[in-house]
Amino acid sequence: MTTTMKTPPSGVTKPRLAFLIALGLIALAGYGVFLYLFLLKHNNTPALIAAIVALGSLFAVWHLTPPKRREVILGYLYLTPAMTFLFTFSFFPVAYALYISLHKWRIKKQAFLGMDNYLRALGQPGGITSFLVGGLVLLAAWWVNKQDLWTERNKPGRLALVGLLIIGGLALWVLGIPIMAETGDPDMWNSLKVTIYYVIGSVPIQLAISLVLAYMLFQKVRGKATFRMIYFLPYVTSMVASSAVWAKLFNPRGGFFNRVLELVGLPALRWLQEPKGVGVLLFGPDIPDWAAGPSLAQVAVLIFVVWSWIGYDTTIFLAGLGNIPPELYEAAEIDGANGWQLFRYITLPLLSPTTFFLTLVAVIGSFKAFVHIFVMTSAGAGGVGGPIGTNMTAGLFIYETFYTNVRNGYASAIAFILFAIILGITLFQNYYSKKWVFYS
Amino acid sequence: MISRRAWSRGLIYFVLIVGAVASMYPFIWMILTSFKSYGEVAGRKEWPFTFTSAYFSAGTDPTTLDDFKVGDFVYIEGSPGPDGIQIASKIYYVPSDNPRPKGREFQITEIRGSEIDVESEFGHAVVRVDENTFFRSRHTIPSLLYNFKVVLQDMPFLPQYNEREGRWWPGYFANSIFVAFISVGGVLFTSILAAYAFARLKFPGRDTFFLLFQATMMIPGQVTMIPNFLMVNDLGWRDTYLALTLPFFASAFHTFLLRQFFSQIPNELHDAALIDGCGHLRFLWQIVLPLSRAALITAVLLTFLGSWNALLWPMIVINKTRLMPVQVGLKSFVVDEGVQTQQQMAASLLTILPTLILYFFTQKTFTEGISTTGLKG
Repeated sequence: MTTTMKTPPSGVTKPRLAFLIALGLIALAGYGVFLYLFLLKHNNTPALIAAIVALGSLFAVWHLTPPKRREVILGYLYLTPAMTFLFTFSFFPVAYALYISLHKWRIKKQAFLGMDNYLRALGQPGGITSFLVGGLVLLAAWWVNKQDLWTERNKPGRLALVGLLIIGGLALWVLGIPIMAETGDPDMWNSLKVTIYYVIGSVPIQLAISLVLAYMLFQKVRGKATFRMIYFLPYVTSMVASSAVWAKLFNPRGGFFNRVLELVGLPALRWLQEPKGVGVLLFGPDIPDWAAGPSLAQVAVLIFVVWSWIGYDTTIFLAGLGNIPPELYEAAEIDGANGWQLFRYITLPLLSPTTFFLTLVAVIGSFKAFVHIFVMTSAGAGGVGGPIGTNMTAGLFIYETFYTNVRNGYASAIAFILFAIILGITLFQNYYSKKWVFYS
Repeated sequence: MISRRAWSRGLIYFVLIVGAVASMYPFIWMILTSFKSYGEVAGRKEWPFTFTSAYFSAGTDPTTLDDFKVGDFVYIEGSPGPDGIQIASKIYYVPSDNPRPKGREFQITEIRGSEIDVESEFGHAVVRVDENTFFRSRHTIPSLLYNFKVVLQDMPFLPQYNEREGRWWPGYFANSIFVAFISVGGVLFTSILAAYAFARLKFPGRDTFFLLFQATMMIPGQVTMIPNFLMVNDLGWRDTYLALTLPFFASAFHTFLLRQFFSQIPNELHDAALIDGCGHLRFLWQIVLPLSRAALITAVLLTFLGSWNALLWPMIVINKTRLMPVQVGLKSFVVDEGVQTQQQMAASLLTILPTLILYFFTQKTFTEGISTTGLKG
């Protein structure tokens, strides 16, 4: 999409440049007006005039620009189609969603609520303030620690100050989060909890298994291509179909998993229909609430998630392994390193950019997860997000609020909270990647 | 004595094969189940072809009570008749080596004219057969592809004439293929042009625009879903193909990928082309695109796959069965508890078949394309 040209290209006088920019802006405005009138207002005659104005000014700009400088116009012109769609379906909707989230909005827009939707979800302002200030204090701790003014002599002072700030920030969080969880929307907080279980339960396991598989595939083995192709199958198949299959495998009456349990002499489980936490199932009903962990139904979903992502992770890990220069291994072998040492001191550090990338993809994917949970729970657990909401991750909760309950304003507010969390995680991971990721 | 080396080779193959079996098992189960008969699923047979001869015989439908014999396991539905004796509405043959009848499954102990004695773990019962009883015996297995036939009849997968609407429906497959092709075309058009601009043209604000493009990858779908739905609704685009294709016409991801490829093409090529009087568009068309074949194929495959497998957005904007893409149709079929398992699996298999075929033929390009996405360039 054409915009102002900030740096004057050489060979064009200033007034002429200003004229060209103005013409370019007219072309852009004409294009925008044309789209608006043609698509939204179905007002064809004015739309046609706008289109003619746009094309005319574009033509004029093109011919008034010296041929050597036309590359600039061409650049904007080539960006226009993609920018049109990105603007309409990505940038503008973010602003629109913010607007929606400030209103009571069922099928049509209703009263302006300001921050009420956010407060309803997150709880009392006191808790939120405490949480935000805590976050700022933690940021301050990081900032103070980073400064150059610390010499050997005042090291204890630095330790004390940074330690104090960290403790203070965490204390504010410990203070604020329970208040928020208590006074906020219990369903929303439940969905956050379920999503956190989802991340913890799927990401490390899937990365560990696929790292092992990739490392073994990377050795000289026969049929490498065949193995890789098989591992990758779950990633290409539709989630609807594969979750339908898995819902059947988890069937409490005669499904695959219960038959395996039966074979080894264990009692049958209810899998997708079991709302009890795995902690309760393992250690009995007397354990405290926080130790109950995810429900067995969620564990069933997590097993599916690990299965469906391993192929993708293995493929990317394999590519990462291929990028490690073989001379490093040879040199280490000459120095007498054994297999484990090679893995621990060469493979793992040099693979860390790949691990970082996959972690980011998996964590963000967890927050967006929808299709498989939707299908598995509606096919096997008797309802979306079931049983009793123990599979209601953030993505599903927003869908339910928006589509089933038609609370567009509130759903948008929760979507923004989710957005903030994803942004926070990305920034945090980006910062930490600089610390421990080793770029060769 | 086996050497350490042999042990570690053995371990590697063992782990790899276990992984492969775990990846494959659900597919194998799906394929086997889709060929099973009702009785084989109910009787928990692992292998679908337990009545080999029946598959190849023409089948003797309709069957009568004569096709059952003492000792057979049967599934019976019925209601009490006027004299208190159950009158069967359905009697299905259940192939079972497993002598533990559950629920409505019984074993025949005696056949006396139109009455049969049956036994289950709950005890003994007498069931009467009348002219309305529906039988499905061991011979009632029309063909190996029975489930697929049922699915294609019950669900509008293929083009068919709809009596109620009085017009032709394109069917799930045609809808999905159409939408996927349009999306691929749109993504290619917008991404190639934008990627070329980012890779090979110099203009003020280029890096800012590139950052904007990348920023869109950070926006979670849940945020844009609601306003996009309201917009589509206001435009009157619900239940149209426009709603299924237009929002996916630009892809920051593919633009990014293509840019990587385009910027690797040496500048000398462009200089040489310019001397021949070749403009940017011709250079792009005649030199850059043929050289970036691998990247383009990856973009086509990923877009096609994404479009084919999409569920959430099509589910929201499409309510008419006539316009449904295949995943939305499949979803309502597989979450329906009234539909039999073997038919759900047949429908699932039909749905993933096109992508599987596409994947098998292009898997090398495909996995290599995926690999490049994970590497910083």
